[in-house]
Amino acid sequence: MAVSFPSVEYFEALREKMAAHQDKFQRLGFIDTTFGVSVANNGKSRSFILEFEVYELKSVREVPSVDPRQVDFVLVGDSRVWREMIENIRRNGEADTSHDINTLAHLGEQLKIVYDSPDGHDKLYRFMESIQEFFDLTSQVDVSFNQ
Amino acid sequence: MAFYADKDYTQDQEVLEKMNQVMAGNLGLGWYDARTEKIKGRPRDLRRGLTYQDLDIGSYGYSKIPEFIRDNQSMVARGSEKVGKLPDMGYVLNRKSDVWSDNVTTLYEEAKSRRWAPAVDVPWTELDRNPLPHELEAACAQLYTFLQECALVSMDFPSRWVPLVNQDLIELKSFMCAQMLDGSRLLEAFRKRALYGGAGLGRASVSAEQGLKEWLWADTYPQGSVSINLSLAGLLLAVYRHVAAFAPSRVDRRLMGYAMQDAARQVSYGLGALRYHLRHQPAQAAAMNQYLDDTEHVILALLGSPELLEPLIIISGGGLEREQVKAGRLATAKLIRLAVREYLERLEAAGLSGRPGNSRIPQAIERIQVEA
Repeated sequence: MAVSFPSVEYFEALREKMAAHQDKFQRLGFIDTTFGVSVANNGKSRSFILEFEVYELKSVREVPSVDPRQVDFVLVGDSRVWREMIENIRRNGEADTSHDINTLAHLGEQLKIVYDSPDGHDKLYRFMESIQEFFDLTSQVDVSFNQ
Repeated sequence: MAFYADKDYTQDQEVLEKMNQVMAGNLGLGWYDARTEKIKGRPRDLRRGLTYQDLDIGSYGYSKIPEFIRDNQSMVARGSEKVGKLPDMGYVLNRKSDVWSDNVTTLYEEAKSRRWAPAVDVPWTELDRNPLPHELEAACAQLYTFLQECALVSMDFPSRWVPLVNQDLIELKSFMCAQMLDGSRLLEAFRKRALYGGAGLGRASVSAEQGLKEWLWADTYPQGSVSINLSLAGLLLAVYRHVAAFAPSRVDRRLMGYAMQDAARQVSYGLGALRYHLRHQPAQAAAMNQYLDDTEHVILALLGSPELLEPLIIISGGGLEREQVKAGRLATAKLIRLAVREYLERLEAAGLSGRPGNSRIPQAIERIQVEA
């Protein structure tokens, strides 16, 4: 059954896949970061906080909005951008260069990275390979779009 | 310069006699009752294994390292019993706040956990299946030539200082060694990438090397750390992100993905070390500002180097056609502004307030015209 994006269920599905691919994430190393994902659509946003610890997604929850002081960074983008990324991953098995998190966020033209402290911002890059691998697990999840 | 031990041990009959006694089964066991704390280190999280953080316990912990290390100049492992005539190692960095960062043990464990091997973790043969057009491959070869120069300096900086850091700062010295390994791995990866493509290495950059040497040979560790761990690593982190975003091949994208992880750890330490330094030695803020006034120009020596700038433009635009170069110039201009903005943000976050107003770099960057 398809899980809708954005939703807690979508991230929970990725969490299950992450647990099933522990060897891959252990090879990439510790991932210790808590970050937000915010998906905007028609003036409204849905926001989530993802807490990663060691090799796992420890928790995910939906919140009314993400306070950048409470997380390392927030990935903020329009639902169109997120959908394109997800569809690209589903098509290719992984995001291509034009659709990976780094490219989408690099110059702030597709996704914006919101952060309170550069320490938090730099964690995106310290753990980039694991974060991208996490989102690439979307290739193994049936996704529908409710926005 | 040589050091000679207090005696020639082959001539010491007492040492030989004691050795014979022990080998004959007459153990002295003088060490058995060493006056040290008897506590067990245990992992708090089995998934991580036993980490340095787990050993921050009792008299062995790094939390108890004093600001001024006055009573240990030998190579004794912190917490062990000191007896006899231990040699003075001549350490010159004996003040914790000159080198420490609160995240140093986290970064050390992370560096080991997130290790990678350029030989096998980069899908080199994809360049055989999908070779780049000549101008892009040449641009890559030049870029990776330049990045080797930077990686060498990133490796040399901790190498220059680590034997001068007091041995009590074990975890910090371990991290500096991890930084050397990170630097050597990046050097290896960039060299392999340049040579795999067939365009050979490019040209060395005079302006970059002049500037890098100025940063590398800073008078003090805190100053050099700001230059190498924060300014240089921050700039390179932005370049790695940029090249990954415009990567002409999966090889380049993967390589830059790993490189950005290594650079980001270095930046995190650089920021943390400056913050710790200024928190404990606030009077040093003026000196650090003066140092940056004098040496910040190196950022332009690096960014303005044609051996970096031009390959970045070609890679960003996808080639040498007029429209490609135009697109590349626009993208690279954004990268330069991004790198400078993040550099100033980090200084501010570390406690060097007011730097954006004092720095000459933003004004210099603004003078660069990029016509659409």
